[in-house]
Amino acid sequence: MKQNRRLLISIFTPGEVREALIGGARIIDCEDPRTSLGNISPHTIMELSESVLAYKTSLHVQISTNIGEEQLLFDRGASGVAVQKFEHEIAGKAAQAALGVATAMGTKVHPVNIIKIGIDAMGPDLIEEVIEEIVRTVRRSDWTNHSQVVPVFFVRDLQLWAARHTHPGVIKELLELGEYYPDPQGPIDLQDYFSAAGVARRQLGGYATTRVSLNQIVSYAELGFPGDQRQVLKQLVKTCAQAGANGLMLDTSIQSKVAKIGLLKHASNTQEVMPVGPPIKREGILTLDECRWFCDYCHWAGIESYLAGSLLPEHAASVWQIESLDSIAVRGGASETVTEPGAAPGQNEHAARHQKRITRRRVELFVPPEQR
Amino acid sequence: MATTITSKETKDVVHRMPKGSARVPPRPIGSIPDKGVTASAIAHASWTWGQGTYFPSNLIKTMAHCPRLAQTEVDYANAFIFDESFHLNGVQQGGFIDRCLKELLINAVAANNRCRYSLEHHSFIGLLTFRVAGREQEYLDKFLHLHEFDQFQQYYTALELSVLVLTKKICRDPHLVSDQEFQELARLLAAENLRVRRGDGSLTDQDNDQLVNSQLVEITWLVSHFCLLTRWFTVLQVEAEKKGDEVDFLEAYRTTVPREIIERNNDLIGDGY
Repeated sequence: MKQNRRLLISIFTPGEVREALIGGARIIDCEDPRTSLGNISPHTIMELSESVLAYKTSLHVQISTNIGEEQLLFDRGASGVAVQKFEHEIAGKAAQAALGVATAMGTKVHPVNIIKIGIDAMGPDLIEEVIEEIVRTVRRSDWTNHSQVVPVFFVRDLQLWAARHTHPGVIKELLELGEYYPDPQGPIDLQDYFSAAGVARRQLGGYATTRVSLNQIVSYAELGFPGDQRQVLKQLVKTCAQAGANGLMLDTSIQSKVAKIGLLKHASNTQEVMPVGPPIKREGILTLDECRWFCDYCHWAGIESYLAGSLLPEHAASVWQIESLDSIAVRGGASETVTEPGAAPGQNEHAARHQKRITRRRVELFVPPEQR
Repeated sequence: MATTITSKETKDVVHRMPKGSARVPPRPIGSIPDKGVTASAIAHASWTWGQGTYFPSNLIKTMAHCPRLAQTEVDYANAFIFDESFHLNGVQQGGFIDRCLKELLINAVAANNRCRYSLEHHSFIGLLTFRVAGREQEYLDKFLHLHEFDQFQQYYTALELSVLVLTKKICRDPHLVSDQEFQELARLLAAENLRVRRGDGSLTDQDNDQLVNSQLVEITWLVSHFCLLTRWFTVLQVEAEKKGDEVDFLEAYRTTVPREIIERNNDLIGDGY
């Protein structure tokens, strides 16, 4: 059976572009690794697009980027849900951002670039409004009308998160990533985790308190989705198809990634060393069968299927068995600590996710089997 | 709102003189027959403590009774009082906090310890320092309330308040300083360093923590040194330089320092030293 499955690798520097392309990536995804779908500036996207042109080994390389993991403007409600100050505000701003990143990616690398849209913190109606607005906007521009629109949804396991969000290593890394908000009554004191300079840097917003709370993962129900996880995914796939999106990506939030909660339940998941505190066993949210069902459902609805969420090489070998899977997106699993040539080995071996680099050696491990 | 400072307002102020006289008289500059060693130290002090003007003070002349003390005091004191940020072999050697904050602290120690010589001289030096820094409008509000700063917090930044609390406790009993207060001061210094270097982007957390440690040492040394100095001035009843001396400091003090400050100093010190 002929297939055109593509490995998406998220990169942040021109050097990583080179490694990803040589390793076999087919989609070069521009992102800042400090968040799940890390926002990235247009001029950086332009720089990375030029790097893809310089290094690409075939005409079949696409480029993608995202407009943030949630389309919040200034605030979340207490429940973690996006707050609009006026009707249509979020959709309008998201469409502006989409137009901007599509223009920054350009069409020289490939006529079709991919705009990823984080749809976290939003309910079904708002998601539909945002996707429709973005699709309508990019289709009207001669410059961007070939762009593909791919929403990204974070699957979640609240029980696992509840058991792990107090782990000191999880707290430390999420604080470093800025996944918190000032809270005089909050359970975490920045002074317990950072030096005076570190605390000061995190208080640049002028907050008087050193106490904070972590940004939390909220339930599907709190976002306004009825039913269980399968019903949520069904509704999302249908919404994406009806709104004119080209695909749907399942991913996990930065909180999940840091807490070692990935997309896939898998026999190879093992204990992982944390920079602080005891090791944590990697866990998954969906079984392989549940992933297969999702991909099949996407194809049934007429859109492409993307999977992401701390996928490891062992996971890739399993998920590529799903014929209806179109793409997997990888950052962490395709990156590793790169020591300075000549330096002693073992330095930074517990480097955080955002401190590691994409290497061709790791990328090769994720390439679809038919392309090896 | 800061009061505009004019010399006209100060001319009619009565400067209250102390009762008594110096318990150890200052030594004239040429009176020590050590082949000019101490005289050069006095000259060094006169130029650098005068901030570029020749100001032979009774401080250095009294200190000259112990010649080696006078000789070693000048560079030592300049290292943490008057020298601005300077580097040697790529490493910052001194001047870790700015001169305006130092003058605020010196005046706070003088007010806390009710030391005439320090309070009068550094009311004057503080004004000139703020003037040179382009911050003269802040001078009156900040300096006038130093002895009761906790009731006038609106005139001080969070960092200044934190340092003033520390200063007051060091003057009274350094055991009173808590870990929490010290941690808070460190954090405020780090934040200020980031603010000053905003847009620079080169100040890493590691460098900032090192800078904060240097600043904490400099601040506490400055305050502790002035605790020593103010007690020494008081017990020896060191007098301000007046008409008939080589320089007339009191005339400059009366005509330059705002009347509110002079009156506050009168109230704090009375006729003592």
